[in-house]
Amino acid sequence: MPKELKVTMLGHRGVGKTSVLTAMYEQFYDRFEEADLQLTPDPESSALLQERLGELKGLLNDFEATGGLEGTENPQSFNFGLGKIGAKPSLQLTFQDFPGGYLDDKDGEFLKKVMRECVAVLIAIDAPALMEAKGKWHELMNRPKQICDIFRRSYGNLKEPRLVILVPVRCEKYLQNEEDAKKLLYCIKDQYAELFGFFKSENLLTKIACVITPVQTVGTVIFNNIRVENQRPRFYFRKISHDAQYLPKDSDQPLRYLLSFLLKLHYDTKWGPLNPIRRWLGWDKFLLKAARKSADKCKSAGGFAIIQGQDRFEINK
Amino acid sequence: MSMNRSAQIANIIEKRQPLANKIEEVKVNLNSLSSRLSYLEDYRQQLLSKVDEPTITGRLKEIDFSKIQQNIASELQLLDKLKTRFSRDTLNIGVIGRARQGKSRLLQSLTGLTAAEIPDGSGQHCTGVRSTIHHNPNVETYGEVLFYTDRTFMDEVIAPYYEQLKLGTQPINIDDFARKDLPSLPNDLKGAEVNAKYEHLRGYHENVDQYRLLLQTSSPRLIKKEEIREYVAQENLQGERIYFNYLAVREVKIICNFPKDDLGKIALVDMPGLGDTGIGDEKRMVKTIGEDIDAVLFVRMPKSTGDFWGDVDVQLYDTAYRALNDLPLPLWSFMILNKLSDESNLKLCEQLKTDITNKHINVADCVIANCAEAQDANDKVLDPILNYLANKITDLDRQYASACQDRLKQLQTSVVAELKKSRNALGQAQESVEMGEFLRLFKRLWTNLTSGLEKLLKKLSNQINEQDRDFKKSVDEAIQKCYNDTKIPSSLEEIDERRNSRGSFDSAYSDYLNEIRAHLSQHFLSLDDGLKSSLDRVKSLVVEVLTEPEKVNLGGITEAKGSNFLGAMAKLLPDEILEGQASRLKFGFQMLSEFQLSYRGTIQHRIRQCLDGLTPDRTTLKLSKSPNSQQIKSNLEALHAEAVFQCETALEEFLSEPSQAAFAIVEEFLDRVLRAEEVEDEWQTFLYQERSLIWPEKFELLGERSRLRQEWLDAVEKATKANQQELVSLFK
Repeated sequence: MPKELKVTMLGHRGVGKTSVLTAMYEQFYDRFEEADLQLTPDPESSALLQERLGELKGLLNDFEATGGLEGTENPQSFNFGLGKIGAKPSLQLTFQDFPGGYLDDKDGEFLKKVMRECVAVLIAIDAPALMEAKGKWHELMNRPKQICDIFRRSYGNLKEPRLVILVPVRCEKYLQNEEDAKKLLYCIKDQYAELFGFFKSENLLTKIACVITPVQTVGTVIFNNIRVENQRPRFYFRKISHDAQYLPKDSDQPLRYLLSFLLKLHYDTKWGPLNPIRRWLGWDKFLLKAARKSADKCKSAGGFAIIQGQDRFEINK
Repeated sequence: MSMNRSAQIANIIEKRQPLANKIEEVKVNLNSLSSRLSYLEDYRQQLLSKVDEPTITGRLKEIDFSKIQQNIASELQLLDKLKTRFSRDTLNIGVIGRARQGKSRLLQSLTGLTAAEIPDGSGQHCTGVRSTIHHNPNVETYGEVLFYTDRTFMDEVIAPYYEQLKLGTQPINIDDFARKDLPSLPNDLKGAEVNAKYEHLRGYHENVDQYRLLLQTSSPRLIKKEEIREYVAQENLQGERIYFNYLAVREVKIICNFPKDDLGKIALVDMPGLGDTGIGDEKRMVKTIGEDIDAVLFVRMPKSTGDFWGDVDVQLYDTAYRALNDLPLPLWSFMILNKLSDESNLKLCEQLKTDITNKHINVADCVIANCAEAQDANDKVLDPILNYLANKITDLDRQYASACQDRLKQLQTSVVAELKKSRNALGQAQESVEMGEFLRLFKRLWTNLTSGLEKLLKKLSNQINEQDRDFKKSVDEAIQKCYNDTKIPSSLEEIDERRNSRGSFDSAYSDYLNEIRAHLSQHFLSLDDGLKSSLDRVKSLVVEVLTEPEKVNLGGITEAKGSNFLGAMAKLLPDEILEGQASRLKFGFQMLSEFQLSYRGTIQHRIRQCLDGLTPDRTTLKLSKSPNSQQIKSNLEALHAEAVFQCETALEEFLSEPSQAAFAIVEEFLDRVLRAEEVEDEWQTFLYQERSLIWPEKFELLGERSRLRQEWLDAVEKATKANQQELVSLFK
């Protein structure tokens, strides 16, 4: 049984968490070729991802599209095996997806439990809600306050290092040039100031690493406009050109940061029999080598940024 | 003497110019006097409606400027005539005579022209075209023809016939005249003269197509000597009636070299024969004599079969006399008795010459001459007349102008009298025993004013980040219009058609982008209204404080309501309230009243930025390599929606700006009218003048230094200044 690594995915329903995984999986082979790695979903996850891929590509049949894709209803998990191409996976990667509704659950014991078990948390951010109309739909779509509360509840007395990855999605429009990318970063820092402030509290400052990695889940569809109907926003998107194809970008980055973070953790840990990190780590040599190779390609400009914990990544510059 | 006559005439003409300038000055002064008086008259009416005091209203009612205004109007007209006369660059001699008296022959003799250019009455009756013949020793004979325009032709030529012959509704233009049949004469009009006039009019009607084009040609038209006849006569020299141009001609000027030496700058004016039935002749003659003639020659040919001075002669003389009653005709007219070559009427000439004074046809000189004989005409007529004029005209001019001057002086004196009445109309003001009461009231008003305005400012400051509701409403409406009225082509066929007419999808696409953008941005122009009403609302809030009954109560000062009150106050406040200092109060009111937010000044540039997507050169959404109409349609829809959304976002940010501007301007206003140094003194001084309007039950309307009294006296003073004698003086 390979070691299991869990990642929690937070974000409102329909924000595009599944799309992030779909793009990551779809492009994995191309992106991690040099590391000789392979990512294998279990049959159930594979079916879900395949279905989502179909939907995403379907977006490009029409020039204009509205809203996002329909979100998944229940907390879902996606299981991948990660390992050498053609060999048995060395690692079990589990992404636990929480749909928006779950965030509203006051008592949320399940969520708290998952948060504690996870080595990393991925927060999907709907970029147009954040960026457009002076951010007036951000609260509604991204619930920054609620997300901050989840961390407060779960990480009150955190003992072990954690990685938090903020993933702006549907952000194609804001990554067309350096200036817009800066604006995107600025808005995230501004709107999540409370969360980042919490991360900087005495106990968490040395434990939490936090990065921003925008993922363009389709790559060629950009935000166009919002129309408000019955006080609810409807987001409209369009292709950047009529012949544009499905071409996700940077879908590999969250995984690279994760690997980089884990690698550093591996080297920093003083191994003792009771060290709980052993539950996660204990990698074989191949995985260590592959992780090092892939970590080299972590982006840190053009909309990417390390908010906190630069030293928690094994990145050779 | 005769050697330097031309120099003498040039000298006369030159001396007239300063007088013409002076007349113009006097005209300007009279006009300004007139407007001062009418202002005073308006003010008098205003006072009459406000004042109840019977002794004052009684005095006001006695003031009467209406007669004076009438006189000014008629003097202005006369001055106009005078000015035209003194501005002319020739000395003009008019020749008057009934038909067949030898007038044309005289003109021929004096000018050296022939019957070709000056048709004489030997054939048909004359054409009624007025011609002026100018002497110029250095040119070959030529003419300048001035045509009627469509309009002047209808007004001056056709209309009088319709009127006098009672032909009913006058045609509105030449087309109308030409198209319709000529109405027949009403039954109650009879007589030879009526019939003759009607025949004249029929001539105009029947031949309308022969001359109407000329009414559209530009004037003057230069013509050669040989062409002159075509414009002044009905018949060619062979007596064939082939010319119709004259019907459209208003005046012909002929320039030629008179045979006589040393004439100077003179012109002879051929006045169309009276007794002929050309309608409007008399009017025309009166006008001509008044403005264009320096001397008159009457031509009369006694019939050898027996003749005497008849009524027609006296009437003709009287008509001329009336034209210029400031100057007695005797001094500037001459009677030429036309002696036939066979001298068969010589006796009668001498008889009439003797008899002339008995008939009260008084002229400067009466001479007998053979008008058909150039030598005789020049020696006996032109020479002595020119000598007479050269010696006398300066005196005559002065005499003419003096009559006018005398009336102007009278006018001036009569104005002085009315102004004196005006000055005393309001009586003496009460001595200022009211000051104590005023100060008490002012103190209370000042407290209410400051606290009222400060309270308002505080309220505005609390609302500073709120969206302005008027502006929000107009923004919402504009955005809705943007969504509903897009100019995006509704069908693919339409786009295909455009592609076909423009030659390519790319061109059609650019077209559509431009059209949609232009249409879209136009929807935002209506935001001006929203901005205006939002500012008006704030201004009205200020006015509410200023006019609150019992507290500040400035409403009585002017009838202007709402935001207009501010402008009215700004206008009413004097430029200086405290001596030597520009009024801060006035400035404050002016500033607030004039303050506007405009769409162009404040918002437009933000909107323009949002339209880049709809600008062909800047849009990032191009057509693909294989374009089609569907692509164009979906692109336009997406870009339009994007642009509207961005405009919406940009405007949203602006929604609270009117509130901020409102706060800022009101705060500035308070700084000007409450907090500036010495501004309280200004209020006090100003309100003292206005006291009776603010506290009508406490103070007399026309108290000392009250505004009504002050303004009335100012108006009287200004009228007095405009009525100085030297301002209406024609001579130094």
